Amino acid sequence: MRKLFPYPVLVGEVDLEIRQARLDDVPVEFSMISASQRTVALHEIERTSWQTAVLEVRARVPRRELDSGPWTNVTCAAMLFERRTNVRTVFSLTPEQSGSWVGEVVLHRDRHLGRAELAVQVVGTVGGVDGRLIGQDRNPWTIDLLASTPAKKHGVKMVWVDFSSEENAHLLPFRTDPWAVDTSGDEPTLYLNKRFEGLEALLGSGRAADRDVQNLLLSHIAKDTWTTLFNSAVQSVQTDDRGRPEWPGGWRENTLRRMLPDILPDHSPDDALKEIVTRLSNDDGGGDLHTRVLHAAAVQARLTRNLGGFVRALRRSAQEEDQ
Amino acid sequence: MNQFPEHLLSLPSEAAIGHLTEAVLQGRAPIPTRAIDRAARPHPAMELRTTAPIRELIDEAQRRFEDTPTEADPWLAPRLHSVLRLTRAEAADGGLWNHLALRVASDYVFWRHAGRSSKLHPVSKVNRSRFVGPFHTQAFARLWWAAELFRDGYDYQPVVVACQNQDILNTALRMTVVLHRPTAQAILRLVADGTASGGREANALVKAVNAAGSTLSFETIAPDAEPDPDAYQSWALDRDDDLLFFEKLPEGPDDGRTPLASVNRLTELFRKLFADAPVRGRKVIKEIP
Repeated sequence: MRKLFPYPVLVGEVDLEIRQARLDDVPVEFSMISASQRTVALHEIERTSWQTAVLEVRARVPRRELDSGPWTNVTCAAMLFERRTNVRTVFSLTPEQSGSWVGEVVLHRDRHLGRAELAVQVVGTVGGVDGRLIGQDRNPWTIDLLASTPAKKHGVKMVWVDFSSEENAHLLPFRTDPWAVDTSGDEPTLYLNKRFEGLEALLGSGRAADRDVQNLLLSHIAKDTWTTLFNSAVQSVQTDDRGRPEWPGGWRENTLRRMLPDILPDHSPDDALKEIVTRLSNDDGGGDLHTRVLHAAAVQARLTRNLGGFVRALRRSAQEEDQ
Repeated sequence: MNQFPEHLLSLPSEAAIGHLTEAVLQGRAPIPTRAIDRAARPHPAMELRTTAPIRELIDEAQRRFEDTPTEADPWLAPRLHSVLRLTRAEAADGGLWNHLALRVASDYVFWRHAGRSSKLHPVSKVNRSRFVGPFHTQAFARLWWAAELFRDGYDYQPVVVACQNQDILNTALRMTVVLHRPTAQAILRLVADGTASGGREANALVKAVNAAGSTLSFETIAPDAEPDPDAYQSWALDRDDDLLFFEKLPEGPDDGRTPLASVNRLTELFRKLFADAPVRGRKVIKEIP
């Protein structure tokens, strides 16, 4: 656990395993559960009309530490959380002889939409106080109702569209641009313009000769994207009644947490956020802030390019479009 | 002339946001209805809902609370929830709320959320996020979710308590601790019984509870009973557009009340937390032994 607690908490690892998933009592193929990605893909084309999903789970807790520690009345529960539907349900687990805890987690279709998070928490009595949180897993599972292959999704959705077509009326003003970044929705989207001559061919090209210009263009797109994400995220920050900025949650918070260390390296994340919000509300132009944002965007762009994932993803999406 | 669309549709945020220019938000330019109608689509999984009963509610709200728009919240929240009969999965689609705010009832958004002019912004305008925004800020989503998260089974009375207090509505609604029904009900009980009825008090209470929730598992101390999804579903399907309640509170889905013992337990715990919480403007009076 990362936070500081005013009482002893578990040091050893707490872990959750999903052993089986059933949709309306029919077992889900094992390939739909990915332990390495910690994701369950519940969306199957053949069975879109399911009502209830049941996950059989097993939680492992550091048993020896628990036995010798100061905790009593220890219980273990699985917690299902989806922000979009505001569902947070706790399922208590039952101890097994081996020291692990087992139980079932139930999802109702009407109460979930996209990606739900499943984590485990250990609770006990410490120092005379009941119900203290003493351990949780660092790595929650994602229960995905949308994806058909289990993969964790982070970052920016990328789509190739024709900016001048009727269906994308909101992109019409940008029809002469090669790309556009949209930050208005629940997840940010990078639109690439199919109508922009040569763009698709260049990004989709596998030729070595195109590699340099490809990389240059990609880092340009990435830098643009990160700058837009950051600006939009910063503008969504609200302040509490004492004027302190609050983390906005979701991709906006992820973006800020990712980029702030490069923008204000000497500040803690909380202080950096405060500093940025203050600077932007002054009417002096923010000093060197915008230069720093561009720098941080360049760092992110370099990271994504070096990882190669951005390039491959773009190339793949261009090829899929061709088929 | 009936300029309102017949059905409630889904308007993607990216299509909606482009129309919310400064001029539109300041009420100087109309919202381009034709462009919106081109971009709006039926919700993929939802039965079509007619807008007529929603319009009736909105008109009545503006009549009743003509000079005090804030007071419309406790009246409208349960009634909007009762008329729409959405599942949570449906309500999670921001497109419905966008369409409601931009196309079906933009007059309400301007009326309820008219901004004040300030030195920095001499022309008053409506905040963009009242049209297209997160569930706790968007003009209609906040009312629907307040009703859904603060009702006690079929009983909408706690929703009225929550919406009468803008601090609860603005602060508590966005906190994950209130997703646990006994926690939400215990907070509202302290607001209703006068312990924390003022804005500052309610705010301090909610923050104290939220802070305590980072080390205490309210779910373990005060377990909830799972709401009955079948009861909710049959309520959601049982729509009757002619049945509008203007005076009496409607009844919500009968999907199970919050366990009383759990609410009692948390009420006492929160009462103690609140006694120690800093309240702006509250003097700390030390008793001399």
